[in-house]
Amino acid sequence: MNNTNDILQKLLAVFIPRLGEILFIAIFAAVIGLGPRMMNIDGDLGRHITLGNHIIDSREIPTEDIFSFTKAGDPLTPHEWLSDLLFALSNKAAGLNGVVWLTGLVIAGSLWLVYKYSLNLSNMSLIALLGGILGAAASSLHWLTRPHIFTILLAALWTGELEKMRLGIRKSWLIFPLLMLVWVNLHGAFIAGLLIWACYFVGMLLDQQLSLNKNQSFIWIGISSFIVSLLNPDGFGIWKTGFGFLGNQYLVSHTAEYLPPDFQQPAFWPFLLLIMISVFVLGLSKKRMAFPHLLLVGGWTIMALYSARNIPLYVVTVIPVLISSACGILCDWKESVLVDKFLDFQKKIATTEENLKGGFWSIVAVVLSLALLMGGAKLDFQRKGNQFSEEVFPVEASAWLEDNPPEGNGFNYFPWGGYLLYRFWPERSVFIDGQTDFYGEELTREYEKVITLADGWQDVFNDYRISWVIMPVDSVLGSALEESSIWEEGYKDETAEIWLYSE
Amino acid sequence: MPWIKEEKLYLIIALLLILIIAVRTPLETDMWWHLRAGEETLRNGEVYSVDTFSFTREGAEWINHSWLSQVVMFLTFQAGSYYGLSIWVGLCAVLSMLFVYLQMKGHPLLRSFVLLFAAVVSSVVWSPRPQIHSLVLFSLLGYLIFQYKRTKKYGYLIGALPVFILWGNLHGGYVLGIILMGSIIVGELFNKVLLKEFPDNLNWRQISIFGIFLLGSFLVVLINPFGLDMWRIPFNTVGVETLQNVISEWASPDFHQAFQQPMLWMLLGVLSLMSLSNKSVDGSELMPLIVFSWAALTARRNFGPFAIVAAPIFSKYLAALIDDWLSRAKQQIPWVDRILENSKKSNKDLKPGFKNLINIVIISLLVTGVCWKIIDVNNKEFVLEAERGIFPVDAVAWLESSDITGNMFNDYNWGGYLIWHLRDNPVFVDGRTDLFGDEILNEWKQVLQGANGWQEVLHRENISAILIRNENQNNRHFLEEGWVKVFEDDLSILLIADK
Repeated sequence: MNNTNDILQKLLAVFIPRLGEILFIAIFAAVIGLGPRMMNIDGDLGRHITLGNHIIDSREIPTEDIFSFTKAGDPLTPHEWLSDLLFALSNKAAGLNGVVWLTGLVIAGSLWLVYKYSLNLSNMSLIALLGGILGAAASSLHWLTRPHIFTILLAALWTGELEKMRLGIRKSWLIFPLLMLVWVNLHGAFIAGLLIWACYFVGMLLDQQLSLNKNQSFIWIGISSFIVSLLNPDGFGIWKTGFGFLGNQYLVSHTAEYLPPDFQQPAFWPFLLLIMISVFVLGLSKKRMAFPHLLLVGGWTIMALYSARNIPLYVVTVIPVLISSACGILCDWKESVLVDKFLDFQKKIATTEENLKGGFWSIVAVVLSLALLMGGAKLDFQRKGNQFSEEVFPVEASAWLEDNPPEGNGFNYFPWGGYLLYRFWPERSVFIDGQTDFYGEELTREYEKVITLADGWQDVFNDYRISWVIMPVDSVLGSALEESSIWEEGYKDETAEIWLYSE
Repeated sequence: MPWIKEEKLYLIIALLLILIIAVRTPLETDMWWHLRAGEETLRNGEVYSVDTFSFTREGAEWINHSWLSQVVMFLTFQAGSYYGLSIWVGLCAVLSMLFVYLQMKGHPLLRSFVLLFAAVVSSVVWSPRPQIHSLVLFSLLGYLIFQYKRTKKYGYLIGALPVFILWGNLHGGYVLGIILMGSIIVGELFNKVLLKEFPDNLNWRQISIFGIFLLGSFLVVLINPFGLDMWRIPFNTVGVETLQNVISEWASPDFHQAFQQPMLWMLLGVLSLMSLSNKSVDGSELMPLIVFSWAALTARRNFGPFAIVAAPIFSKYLAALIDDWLSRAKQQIPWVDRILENSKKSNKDLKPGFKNLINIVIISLLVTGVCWKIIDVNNKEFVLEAERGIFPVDAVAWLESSDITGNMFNDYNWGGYLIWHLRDNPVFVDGRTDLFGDEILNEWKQVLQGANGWQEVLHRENISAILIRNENQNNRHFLEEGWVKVFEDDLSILLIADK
């Protein structure tokens, strides 16, 4: 009888999911459900897969431009080559479904880490769960099939491990250079890791927390991570590229994801709510905040308010700190009946969770979804399947181009560059694509000059010998070409128009 | 004895510096229609409330919630032209900051620095418009509530009632005052229920009376020419969906713009100072801070109220932090105490006559700076040059000398300027969003962007001329449809229908 009970209990411990696991599965399911949206909001996925395929086929990482005719052969920093490779491999294995699955795994993993570190700092799983949900809502705007998802994951992992170092839970610092080695080859925002390290290092100096041992460890983390960051195909060039782009006000202000959050849009309200919660929590906390935490909260609040693309990094670095402070405040309010009841309930949950193993359902969800997606199931919310949308990308127009290939160079709509590469490279290269940091201010200004018909736009066409143009329907450029006697319309549907030089 | 006490000297210096910041060339897109409305009110002896400035809303009733501000503005402009308006904005800004200063804690020097910081944040919304009065009244209300909380004397709450009567006639922004009072009550309730650690705060009776005065304030707003309609104004304005697209001050802040960044730094500063403190923030300070931080991040026109609410908290916690650090430094580092003592001593050693001389020199220099700024920014050539950069000065001059008649489609931001300068020509649209609503504003956008059906709008409104910005994207569809360019400069383009 006792044996049966033991077995039953062990089975229940395996089969009943923990709160963190429920969060992981829910977010994973949400990301898979939003697959087509994630792929179609951003135009760069095509380029990432194309570059990844090229790396697989040629076994080399290109360090000069191979995708455009405007910058062909110019030196290029492949700061996302490893992400591109992973996207291409998942695409080869399961098509675009594989890319979405990989994205789901990375995003759900990142937010699970947020939950986990919040729990470590607060010991209140319900509040940590709330933090995870808010984090998911705030960061969902940037759930995209782009290499930056790896930065979200690594920033979460990096912050959590630094916190363990600060608390003395982790002794060895060797994990940090290893993480940095992966990060620097996955995405150009690896610099965020060193910024987070700087928050901890400076914060601990201000807190006078650095003992000789900790001091040495933290210095070694910084030095080793910086040195390791040079182990990439472009060496120190990767630093120059990152800062060069961020230092260019024109390019930054012309890149949508670098713009500040627009709080008139409901999509940004969860982030606004998080900021208000931070004012509330920091205002009510009776405990002076540790300087590393203060620098994290202050620094990432500023960064996220400056550029919306930093919101996911705000989520993974700041939420555990806020949750920790919020739980401290709740403990101060024990006298309140409601708070006391909540704390009792939380204790019961914690006791139950201690006996659970966890992990079973996460593995089931991840493996089953992959199997279903590979089997052709449509798991997205709208049951459309993971494909490039005809309403967003020139899918039909590209088919026409395949059947009626025009001669010479084509001028393309900037957000379609990646898709056109996906469809036509290496047969055709593009005028421009989403890689703004590479194309630079001069070419971006030329592109802008053409699409706004600013003075001298025809000169740009002459300089680059443009013989065909692909633009969205009813564009300003399209109306100018329509008037012109030397251009004729080759193709038009509800998404795109193709113009051919006819002289 | 020095003539001016140290405390007052710092304040005077800060206020003079604020005046220097606030005095600007009074050119603002909405300023002109406010002036014209003020003029009409004075000329007719009754509040201007039926539209005659536009042909799209001609004859429509308009809740002119800023009628008294418009009268003040017009009289100021009549008496002192640009100089008058410029000084008027500067004085309102100084007054609003003075009430903030009176709510601050800490050393006068520190308070003055924080005040200047708040002024820089707030300065984004200092312009010759009725909302400058809202800032003054918001700040005054904050001061009255601060005094009520400090002294528990109801006289201060009674003082809030005339403030709201005036507010209800000066500007629709009275709702900010209602929100401030409401959030303070929520904060006080929060103190009572959960924090339980601010013994000097309001008791239940005092909170109830505060609530009654909040209700009273809401009621006395009705003492205005439009009565109950005044309550609708905040909803009418915020309810216009196209507002955020058309008016930049209603948009969420863009922190890539350097002039908007001080708000970000103030928010960061308050967050940091609160987190470095060992005490909870008083709920009646925290709730308004949360509400007005939210408001400022949603629309940058709320930077002013945010700064007014945040500055006293900022100075309070900064002062506490500095005191804490200094006392620890004195214990741990012996020479810190010596330096502080020496500086006090050398200050005492200075002869009063010498101190007076230095003070007079500083104040004279700043007063000279204020005078120079007033003269410089209102210089005729300077104003004209600035006006040319914002408004279609030459196009209007050309129109005045031409025989073009009939209705004209105009740029939204130029509506007020045209109302003031082309008095016989009503406009398509101007800055009175509450009058035009989404219907007209959407039609305006439709025409400007050449969206489906734009020709019908022009035809229906019998438009014979178009005055818009000289930007290729905006005028191409007009030219394609046969409109003829009759005037063009760097800023504007004037098109007429091809006969």
